[in-house]
Amino acid sequence: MLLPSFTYHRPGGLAEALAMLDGFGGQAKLLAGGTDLLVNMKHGKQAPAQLIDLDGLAELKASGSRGDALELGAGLKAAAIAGGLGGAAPQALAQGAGALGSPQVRNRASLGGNLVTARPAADMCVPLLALGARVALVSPAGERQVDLPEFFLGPGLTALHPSEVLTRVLLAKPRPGEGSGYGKLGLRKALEIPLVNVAAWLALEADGKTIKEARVALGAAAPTPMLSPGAAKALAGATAGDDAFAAAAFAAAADARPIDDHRGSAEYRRDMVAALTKRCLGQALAQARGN
Amino acid sequence: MPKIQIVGRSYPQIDGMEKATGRTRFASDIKLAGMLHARVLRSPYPHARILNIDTSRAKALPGVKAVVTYADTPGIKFGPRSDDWTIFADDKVRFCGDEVAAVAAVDEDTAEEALELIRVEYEELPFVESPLEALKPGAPLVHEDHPGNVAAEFKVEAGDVDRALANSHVVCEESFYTNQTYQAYLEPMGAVADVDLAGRITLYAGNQIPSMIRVPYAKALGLTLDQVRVVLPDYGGGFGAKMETNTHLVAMLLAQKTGRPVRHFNTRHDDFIAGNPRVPMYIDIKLGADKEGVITGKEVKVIGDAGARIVYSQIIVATACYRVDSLYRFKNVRAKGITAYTNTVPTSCFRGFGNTQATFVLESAMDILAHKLGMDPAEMRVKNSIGPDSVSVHGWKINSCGLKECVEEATKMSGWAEKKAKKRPLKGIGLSCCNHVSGNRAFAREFDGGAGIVRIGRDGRISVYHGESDMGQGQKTVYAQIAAETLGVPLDWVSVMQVDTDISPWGFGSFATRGTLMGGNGVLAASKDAFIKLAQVAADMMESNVDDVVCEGGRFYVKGSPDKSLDFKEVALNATDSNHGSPVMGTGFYDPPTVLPDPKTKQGNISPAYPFGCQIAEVEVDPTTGKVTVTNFVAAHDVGRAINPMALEGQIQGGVAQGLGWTLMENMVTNKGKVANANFLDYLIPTALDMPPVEPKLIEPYEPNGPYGAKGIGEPAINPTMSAITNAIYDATGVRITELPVSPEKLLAEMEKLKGSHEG
Repeated sequence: MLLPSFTYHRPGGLAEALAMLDGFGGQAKLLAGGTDLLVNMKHGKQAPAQLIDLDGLAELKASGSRGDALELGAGLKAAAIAGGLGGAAPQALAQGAGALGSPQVRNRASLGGNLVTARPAADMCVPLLALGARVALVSPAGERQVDLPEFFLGPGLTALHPSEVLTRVLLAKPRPGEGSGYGKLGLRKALEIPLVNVAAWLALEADGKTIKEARVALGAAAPTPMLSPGAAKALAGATAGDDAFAAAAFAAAADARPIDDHRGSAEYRRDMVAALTKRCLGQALAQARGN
Repeated sequence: MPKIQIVGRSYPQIDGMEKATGRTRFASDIKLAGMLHARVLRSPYPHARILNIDTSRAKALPGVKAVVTYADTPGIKFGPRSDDWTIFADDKVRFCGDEVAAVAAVDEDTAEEALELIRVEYEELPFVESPLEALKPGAPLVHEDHPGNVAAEFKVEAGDVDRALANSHVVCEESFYTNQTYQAYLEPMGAVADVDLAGRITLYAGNQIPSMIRVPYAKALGLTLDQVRVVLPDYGGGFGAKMETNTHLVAMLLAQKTGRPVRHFNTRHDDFIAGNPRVPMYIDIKLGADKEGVITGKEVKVIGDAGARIVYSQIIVATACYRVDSLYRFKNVRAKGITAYTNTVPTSCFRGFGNTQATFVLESAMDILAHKLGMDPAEMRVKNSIGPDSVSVHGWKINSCGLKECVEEATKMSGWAEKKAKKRPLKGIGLSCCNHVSGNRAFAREFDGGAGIVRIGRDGRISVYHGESDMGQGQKTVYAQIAAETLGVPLDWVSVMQVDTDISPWGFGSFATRGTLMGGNGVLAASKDAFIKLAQVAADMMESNVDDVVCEGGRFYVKGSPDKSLDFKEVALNATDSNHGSPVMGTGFYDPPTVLPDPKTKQGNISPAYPFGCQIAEVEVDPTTGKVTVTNFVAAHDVGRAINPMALEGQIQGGVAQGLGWTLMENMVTNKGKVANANFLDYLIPTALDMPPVEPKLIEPYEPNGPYGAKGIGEPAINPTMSAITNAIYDATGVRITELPVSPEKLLAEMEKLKGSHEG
């Protein structure tokens, strides 16, 4: 239960960090907030010989817009995102960040860390999936961008190469007529790994009634955070409201592949996927309509 | 006599500022020169024979000073109330977490590394993890000398239960289960042990029974009682768990082997898997009432899970069998309790001591009967309430009793009548009462009571010595208030000293809601003795009679002449000088009017006073998820005369929080013999955000046996919480909860069933 020994490095910039990472050839781990990595190390699940601390890199903490895109630095703290980033953060993402851990954990935990840890019910991963985000992965060879559904490969497994650093999250800037929402079911109100969590995003046509496009993302429903294709299909072109949301909830539950454990049965989780899907779509619609 | 000025007033805890600013040195902060650090190797199997242990590689690791196993112990069987303990597993391990070996090394890293070098060969054995399975014929035996895995049996009977139940207008017959929960104190169990050249051990350990703990420890190590000294530092909570533990003995044994101080604290994981969690119980109840709602008779059968060895589980099961019978005017009761061994973590005391489990069951059954009779559950409680100056069915002498007042106040505060009259969908209100003890003669055996020493120095400083245990509940402040009140000095002139068994009186410790009454009476007696001695000096100085001398605000005066007064400190100086340096020493004790219950009939008054309470919960249930939110809570408690109202209110709010956690989320899950959620991420306790407003109300009848009329509060604060919430859930949904905890999934399934049966 004690932290194993390791060498700690604090690079001055991203280029230096990448060079270090390359130099250690897979022996190093990147440290941001440490809320997952250090806990895993204490439990003996990981024992990297080298830790490269990215927390001091200002270039990873910027957020801003470029055209229609919103770019969020991977080093942003959950607390900052929960605070809304001056109104820039989409509603579901701010809600997800605000539901993560406790104030202390949110002050440490980073956006990039939440993504690369890739837990099936991570509070920021699920909303980002619904928001259609992609991630920028930088290596000495350059940058590539990967859509989130291709980024999550399994519990704790991602498309990130050992030589890469996740530097930014890119998503479309929220526009009028769009909305999103996040919901989490647990036994208590903080410091809780969700039994089930869901995020929804939808865009309305100019008529303010018809759904142009929608995405529903599910957590704790599969080995990775997942999108529900059935829900997206049920919603596209439908009239926003209870009927469409019920159909989407039904489809989302059908897409979910939850497991039984001591926290809850697969059957209950599936039912709760449906219940939360309805709630999140309701929140998203309210925001889309400017309520 | 001067009017009472310090007792009955709210004070922040006298050590509160030290704790809040991080200055308190807790048990785990203790560092002694040359101290080594210990770690324990624990069994990975619930039941296995140990074929071989090879410690040679661990011993060879630089920095390792000792590696010990059962072979290094005196091999004496011992236990607090049994002889089924050994310091390390002898021929077999009996639960996942059982102690197999331990290492002392120069630092924790080295000790932990050494554990990985110990090779143990096991032969896995069939195991049993449920007490119901354990009691079946042919079940694997946890202890070969206990056939059928029966650790203990308890029987009690009074009146004619069969006739009473047969003649009842309504009978509730129901089976309940209460699960295993963890005390979740802030500081895990642990100690620092130091041995002198004569082999005498000093144990610095945060524990609830600093005097009593020495008895089994001395036996286990083959020492005499005088060779074990216990010093009690400040420590981070106990809630019943911090009694005897092998965790302390490991430090003591390693200190003996190395001749150096040894520090051993459980990791949180070890504390979960090898602490002393709550005794899970299966309880069947039959409860009858007549047309008017008067209880006719009660029968219960209790099966409790001891885990792999007995800590105090058999007394806890006995308590669950009959303590609650002194809540109402029972005449016909019968109970049978069986405590069964299983291959799981040994269970023991947790705030409520079996009466929590029994109160959940009885107060659920009362609610069922009230509904069957179409009677207001509050009215039914009042109708059956035991009264002041009465004797219960087991011969318990109730002096003060504010139970009816508790129900009246709680119902008034919560708007009970209006809320019961106006049914709101998915919202509910529920009520539960409770009783408890303030000391338990059946537990203390040889004698019960409390003693104190009050020393007044040449400088007038007052030092109070007691033998109980402040684990954060506020005992030091209460004792300081009692001493200051009795001596007539300001509160901050009094220091309450660390318990050191070389100096302090023998005390049974802090359990059974006894600290304020027993220890407080001991401090009161010692304070009176010191006062008389000092007052004699003051009387001589004022050329008056000692009986006419009083002290108020730190000044002595003769009754009727407060203008001509003497400074307390001047009197103290004079007293010490005239005695050539000897301080004024007051000693005293309290002998409670209790008896050991008759072994056969269990008749006999076990406590000098009995606290009561009534709690009311309001809940809202989410019909989609089954999630329960407790929206409001009131808790009226008969505490006797309050000594420190602020501390009492804090205790009540803490008890409710703990009970709410138990009801809605807390659950130790055992899977294939292993605790599956031995950490605070998976074992959930409520956070501040999960708590509703909890409004406490103190009901204060004067208790003739209490110091300044006081009784205790520790355990009654949690006893009624579970059934108050589950009775509210019934009111909201029609679902009767018979198993704790209430997961949203379980409640939703029951709600669906109910809907189905109504539609069908």
